[in-house]
Amino acid sequence: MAENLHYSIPPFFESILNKHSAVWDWDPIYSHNGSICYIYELKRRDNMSEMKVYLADAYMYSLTEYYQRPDIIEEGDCICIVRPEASFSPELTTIAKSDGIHIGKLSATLGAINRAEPCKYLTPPKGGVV
Amino acid sequence: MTSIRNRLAIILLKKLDRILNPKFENKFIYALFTTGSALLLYQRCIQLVAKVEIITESWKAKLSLSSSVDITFTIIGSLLILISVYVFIALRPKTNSKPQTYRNLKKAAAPILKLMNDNKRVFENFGPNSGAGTVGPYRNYLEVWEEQKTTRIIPNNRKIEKILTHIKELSETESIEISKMLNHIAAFEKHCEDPTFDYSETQFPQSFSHLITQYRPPRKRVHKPRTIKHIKWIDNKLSSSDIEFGARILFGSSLVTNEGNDVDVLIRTKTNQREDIQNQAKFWMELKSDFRKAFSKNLHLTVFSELESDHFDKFLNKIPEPYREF
Repeated sequence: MAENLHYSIPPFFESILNKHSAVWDWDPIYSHNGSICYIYELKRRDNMSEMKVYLADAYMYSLTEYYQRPDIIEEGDCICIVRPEASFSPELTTIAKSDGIHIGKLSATLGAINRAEPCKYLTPPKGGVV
Repeated sequence: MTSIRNRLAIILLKKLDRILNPKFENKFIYALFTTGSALLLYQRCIQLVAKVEIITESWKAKLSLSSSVDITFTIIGSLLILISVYVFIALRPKTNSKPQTYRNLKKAAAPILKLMNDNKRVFENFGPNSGAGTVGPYRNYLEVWEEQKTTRIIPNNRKIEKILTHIKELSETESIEISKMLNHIAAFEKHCEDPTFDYSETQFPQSFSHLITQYRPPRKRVHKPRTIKHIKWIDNKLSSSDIEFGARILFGSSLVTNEGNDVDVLIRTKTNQREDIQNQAKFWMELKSDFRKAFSKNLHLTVFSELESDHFDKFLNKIPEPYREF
C-alpha cells in the first residue's frame, strides 16, 4: 500500500500530470476502503478511454502486493512503482499484462498513459540522450 | 540564438513579475514612512510658507500666520516613522547570518545524503539514462528533466556546496572527494546555463557518494522486549495457517529503536500457483489488520512466493543489519 509514500511524490506526480500531453483532466482518490492510497483518475485526449494510475510505494513490488492492490485498479489501469530504486519481477509484469494492467516505474507509466491500451506499452531501451 | 532569446525572455518576465507582484512589505513600509513624515512635516511647511518675506527696493511684504504645532499629529507621525524603521530592519534579509559549520565530514553526512537522495530521485526518473529521455512521445519528459535541473537539482547542489565549504577538519581523501564533488557541481551548473558545455569529465563522482553513505549515522541497537511479543504473535498466526514457509525474518526499525510505529517482516512462501498467491493475499491483509488491532502498530509485510525467489534473495541482501529469523 502507499501509506508511507514520500510526501513530495504526490505533488510531484500531479505537477507532471498537469503537463502530460495525453491528459486533459485528472481527479485524485486519496483513500479507498478506509485506507490511504494515491490513485489518479485520468481523462485522456484523442478519444482514449479514462484510466486510473495507482502509486505504489513498495521497495520490491511482489505478486502478493499486486493482489492486494485497491480493487478499483483493473483492466486498462496502471500501477506506478514510484521509488526509483524499487524493482518487481518479470513474472509480475507478465501476470499484470495478462490482467490488462500496466506496471512500471514513473517514466514507463508516463509513457503508458500515451497508449490507448497502457498494458501494451513497452519501455524503450535506455539511451544516452543529454 | 535561442539561448539569448530565452535569457531575454526570462529577464523580461522577471521585470513583469516585479511590476505585477510588488513586494507588499516594501509598499507597507513606504506608506508608513510617507504618512509619518507628512504628519510631522506638513505643519513645519505651513509655518515656513506662512513666514515668507518679499523685499524689493521700493516695498517690503511680510506674510505671517500664527499657528501652534499640533502635538497629537507630531506624536502619531513620529510613531509611524519609528514603526516603518522597525519593520524595515526586522524584514531586512539577514545576509550576514553565519552559515552552519560542521566539525568534520561525518557530522555533515546526514544533510548531504538527504539532498543527494532528492537529486537521485529526480535523475533516476527523468535523467538522460532513465528511459524517459528518448525520442518521440517521450520527448516531453526531457522538458521535465530540464525544468527539474534548474528548480531542484541546482538549488540542492548549492546547498551541498555550502555544507562542503563549511567543514572544519578534512582528511586528505575527503578533501580529494570533496574537490571532485565541487567540480561536478560547478560544471553541472555551467552545463545547465550552456548546454554545449561538455561536463563529461566532471560527472557525478560515485566515490563521493560511497564516502558519504559510509558516514551515514549508525543506528543504535536496542534490546526490545516488545519485539519478542510481536514475533510470538506473528508466529502463532502463521503456524495456524496452511501456508508453507521458506523464510520468516523480522528486520527494520523495530529491532533498533524504541521509536516508530512500524514492524517490518520479510516472508518467503513455497507457494508457486498464481491462484494460491491470490488467495493468500487476503490472509496477509487480515494479518496486518489484526496486528494493528493487537499492538496499535503497522505490520509491514513483504511477501515473496516461490515464483519470486530471486527477488527475495535480492531483498534479503539489501536488508541492513540487524535482522532476526523466527
